[in-house]
This record gives sequence, structure tokens and C-alpha cells, in this order.
Amino acid sequence: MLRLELKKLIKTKRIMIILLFMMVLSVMVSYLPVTYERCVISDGEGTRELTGMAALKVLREEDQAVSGEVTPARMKEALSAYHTVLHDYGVDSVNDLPEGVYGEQLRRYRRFYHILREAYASSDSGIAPDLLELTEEEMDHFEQVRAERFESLMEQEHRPLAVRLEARRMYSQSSVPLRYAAYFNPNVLDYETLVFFLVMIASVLIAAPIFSLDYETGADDIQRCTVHGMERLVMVRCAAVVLLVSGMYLFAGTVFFGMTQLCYGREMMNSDIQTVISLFTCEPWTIGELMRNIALAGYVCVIATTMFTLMISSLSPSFGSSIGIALLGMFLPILLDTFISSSITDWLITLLPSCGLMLQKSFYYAVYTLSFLSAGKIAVASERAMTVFETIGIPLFAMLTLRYYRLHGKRA
Amino acid sequence: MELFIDHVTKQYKDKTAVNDVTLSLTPGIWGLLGANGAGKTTLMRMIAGIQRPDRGRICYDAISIDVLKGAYRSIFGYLPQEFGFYPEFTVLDYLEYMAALKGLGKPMRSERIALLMEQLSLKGLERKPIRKLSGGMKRRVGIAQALLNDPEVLLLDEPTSGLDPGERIRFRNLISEFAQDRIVLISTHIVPDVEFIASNNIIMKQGTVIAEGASRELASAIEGSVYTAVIPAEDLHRVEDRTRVINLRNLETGQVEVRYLSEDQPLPGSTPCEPRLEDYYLWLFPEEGGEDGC
Repeated sequence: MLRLELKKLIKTKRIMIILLFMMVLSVMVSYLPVTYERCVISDGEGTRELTGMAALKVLREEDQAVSGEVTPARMKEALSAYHTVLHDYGVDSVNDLPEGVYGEQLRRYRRFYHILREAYASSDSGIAPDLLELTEEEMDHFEQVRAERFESLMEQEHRPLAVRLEARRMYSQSSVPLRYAAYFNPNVLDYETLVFFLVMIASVLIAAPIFSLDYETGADDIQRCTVHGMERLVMVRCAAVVLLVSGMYLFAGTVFFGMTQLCYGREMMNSDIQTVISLFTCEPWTIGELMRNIALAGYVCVIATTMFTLMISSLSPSFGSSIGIALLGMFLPILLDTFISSSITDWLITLLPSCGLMLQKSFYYAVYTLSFLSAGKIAVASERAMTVFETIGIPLFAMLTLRYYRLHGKRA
Repeated sequence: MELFIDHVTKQYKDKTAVNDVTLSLTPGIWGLLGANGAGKTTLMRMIAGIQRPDRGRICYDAISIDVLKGAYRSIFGYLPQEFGFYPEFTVLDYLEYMAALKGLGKPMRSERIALLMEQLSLKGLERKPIRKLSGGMKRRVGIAQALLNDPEVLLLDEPTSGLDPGERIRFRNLISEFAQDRIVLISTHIVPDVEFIASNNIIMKQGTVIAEGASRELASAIEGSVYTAVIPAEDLHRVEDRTRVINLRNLETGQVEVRYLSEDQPLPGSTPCEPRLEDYYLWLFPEEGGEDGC
């Protein structure tokens, strides 16, 4: 029965178009970050800007020279290079350096400079220091400064005590020393979320008519009069949609990971996220682990949203209403965030099945922005909470789908 | 084997679609007749378990169908008045899909599908997408799916709409043959479709059963009121004003042969006829009118 249900889905023209469109789109979006890579180089042919894969090749080679643990010694080396170059050219800012000098002598240390600016920012104002004002001796206490700055950041942002305790616990698990393995553009993570977000839209478009269109055409009248036309039909139908959506997700994920590793290499996956995204992200993960967790959480989110859509479909009398309500439900996190911003809304948004991939309320953004949910003495990282809620939502929506399907017509 | 409809009522917002209907359906073909909006489809849908009655209950062999659930659906076949297919499915895909839903194993499935394709003149259309079928062909596919599980109870709502005369005759023969030891309920407003094959008829009007019985028995109610006469064509309007014309046929002589109902004095030169179920139906539903040009 599952085979026939899948056959029915795949043979539907609308679904064939969605699948084809998603395949093309996932390839395009997966390659898109590479097209934004840029760097300026100076060589025998003069100074010129490279883009795309050519730029990426140069950036990867440069960063290979500085990969490894982020120790005080490496910080000193980076800071010393900065001081020396600016001193040699008699300037106060890298922007005033002659063309090509930054790229040739300092660009490879840019991640270190970023880390230094975050770690040594003012505990009062949060303003990043001028690197010329930092001394090499100060680098000896880098780990201590990092820990202190984390505390002052929590203070500055007026985080509740429960959040501070939970954030501190999580942050204490990050690597010491941190590791920077290879060049990686954190924007790629936005595109990872985007690829899975597109799969989520496709899954809503696939799932929305599953029951409602049959109600509308009357096909349901015949099916529900059959021996397997109730529980089994609903279960098989849900399973078929989940299988189809999973296949689509697997394809999009494989294309994305394949393309990213092909372009950026595998080594970048070993960098701690604190060295690439922000020094003060709490999750003690590497880039590889973050990418994997975005993909896993994204999958849970897509399946939860698919099940939510199937529930809406089982409730709606027509295709139009089911697709309208399902899309509205999917975009609800963004709408709520835009129009009603409060701590209660934060909880509500996190409870919604589509939250994990909803761009600026997504799993990745929750990691990036240190988003926490708190109530009294309890605090939990938003990215973890949303994944738990989505996981709970899957069987819940499945049960409601079955309930609403059984009630359909009998309420008329 | 008995399907018992026990004081069933179904109310929509401001309309009582089915009002306190009680019926006992035993094996045989039952014609369910009535004008549009009489409540036939609602009654069918409640018997099919698609809608729940507001009052009353439906029992199969003394057990409520709400209790029987899957067991009832396994002995049941239903063809709704309007139903959707999956346009991209071929005839074979669709019948296989429905057979799976009806719990037929693979060998049984192929055997039943082949037999029904043959009986319903669908042979050769196995690989044809349903969207490319004519209305009549789609209807036949619908009938085939209803018969797939060899049901003990078969409900057919307007099964012959869209079928050509030849197909209607074949359908009647098929159902007559099929109905042995089974309960077949055919809802229609085309009286000849059930007149000669139904062992019993139920006539509904405004949600209520107004008559029930065998065709001959029902028709006997208007014994002595049905006549035929040959009249000049120009007198037709006058005759229509005086009597209830059921049927008329233009003759080569320029005259018209009319079959009409009259409870009073018949037209001069009229011949009394044996009443038929259709006459009785039109007597009950004058607004339905007769068939032209028969």
C-alpha cells in the first residue's frame, strides 16, 4: 500500500514539478556562497580582485599557514605582524596601507584579529579595541580575558541569572585552546539554513493537499468506505509524504555538503565555531558538528512542519484553505517576531514546528545570537528547546491528523 | 443479512435532509428514487458511514455500523454521485490502489481487476490515464472499484449518469447478476434503470420515505389512471393542460401518441394502460415531467 501511495504521489504532476524545481534550486543555492568569495591579490600582473573559486583557492592557501590551536603564542605572532607592518608603513589603520600589502602580509591573520577584538573589547561599552593598543604581553592571559569578557558580555546584555548560569556551563565546555583549522566563510551556514528552508516550503506544498484535495474532489468518499480507509490510510499516507520529503531533504543535504566540501575542503570542519562565527557562541561545537546539527535539527523541523501541514490538510475542506493556512502557519514565527516582540512570544515562536529553519529565528541564528529561553530558575538554549518541541510535535500532529481525518464529514 | 436503518434523521443548518427514516434492507436490488434534494445522497452517505446521523442508527445484522467499523467497511462497496480520481493514475493504477485499500491480496487483486475490466468493457484501457477517459468510462471505472471486494452491501449513487444506452443495459445486467444474496441500493432519478431489476423501491420526498414496495405493487396505486391516446399535434397544449403527460411520441402521420395520467374522465379515444413505476413516480413528482420523444 505504501508503494502505491508513493507511486500516486510521484506520478502527480504538481509534485513532479516541485521535486524538479527543488533539485535545481538546491544545486544553485549550494554553490551560491562560493560566488560571493572575493580577495585582492598583488603579483607580477599587478593588483587585482579575484572572485569565486579563484578567490577561495587563495584564501584557503593563506589560512593553511595559520591553522592550528589558537594559543597565546599564535596571538602574539599575529599581533606582532600587525604592529610591525603598520609601523613600517607609518600608518594607524590597515585601510591606509599601500595596495596589496594587507593581502600579502596580514590577511592570513584576520581570524585572529577578529578574535582579539572580541576578547579584548571594553567590558563597559563593548567597543572593540584598536589592535595597536594591545600588547603582546596581554596575550599571555588570553584565556582568562576570554572568560572574563564572556561574563561581562552577559552582564552588558542584562541576561537573567538562570541564563547566565546555563550559558556559562555551556561555554565552559568549549575547547581550550580553541582550534582554527582552515578557511571557512560563516555565510555558508546561512545558505545551509536557506537550502533546508526551501525544502520546508516544498514539503508544505506537497503535504497541504494530501487530504484536503481528496475531500474537495470527493475521492475521499470512496477511500474512507474501504477496510483500510481510516487509520491505515492516514498512517500510510503520512509515511509516504514523510518518505518523499526525507528523500528530497537527503538530496538537498547531500548536494549542499558535497558542494561545500568540494569547494571549502574537509579540514574547515575541524575549526571550533568560536574561531569562525563569534568568540562568544556557547555551543562547544566544531564547524563540522554545527553543520551536522543544523542538518539534523533542520530535518526534525521539516518533518514536524510536514506533519503540521498534514494535520491542517486533514482539517481543511479544500485545497485552497489548507495551503493558505499551512503557509501562514509556517511563516508564523517571522510574523510573530515582527509584530509582537516579547519574552512570551519567544517561547511561542520556539514552540512552532517551522521555527528551526525560519531564517532569523532559526536553529543557526539561535546558536549565533546566544538565544535562550528562561522561566524563573530554568534556562535552556533556544536551539535545543526548539528541536525538542519539534520532536514532540511529530507524533502529536500525526495523532491529530488521524483524529481530524476520522471526524471529517461526520461533523457536517 | 439485513441492513436496518432505524429512525435516522440528519439535519443541516436550516434543512432536514433526512427525517426519521426507517428501512429494513434485505438481499436484493433496492431502488432509491426521488427528485434532486429529496435526501437520497445524504441517506446513502450515512449508510456508507461517511456522515453520522443526528438521530437514529444504522445496523448491519443487528450490530451498529459504528461498532462494526472496519468489519462493515470490508463487506461494503460504494460509488458516490460525484467522486474524484487521481488524474495522473492509469485505470490499472487506480484499481490496484483501491484494491489495496480494500485489503485484497496481490493474486486476488489481479484476478478481480481482470474480471471487472472484462465485465465493464474496460479491457484495453488498463494503461490509459484516467484524465483521458470519457465521462461514461470514468463512471465504469467507479463501478469497477465499488465491486472490487465483491461486497455484501453495495451502494450506488446515480451509477448510470453519463452512460450511453448500451452501457446502461450492460450495467443493469451486471448488477442483476451480482445482486444474488447481496444488498444493492441504487439511488437514481432515472426510473427505468431500476424499474425492472429492483425487487423493491424506496421513494423519498423532502427527506421522508413516502412509498416503499415492489415496482408492480407501487404502480398499482394508480391503476386505471394511465392511458394512451393519439391526438393531433395542435391539440397537445390543450391535452397537457387537462392531463399529466408522461410520454409522447411523434407519429409519421403528423399526429402525436401521448401516454398520460388522468384521475378524471380520459380523453376521447384513449386506451387504458398497465401502470409502470415511472408513471407512479411522475404521479408523485409532477415537477419532474415526462421524457420527450420516446
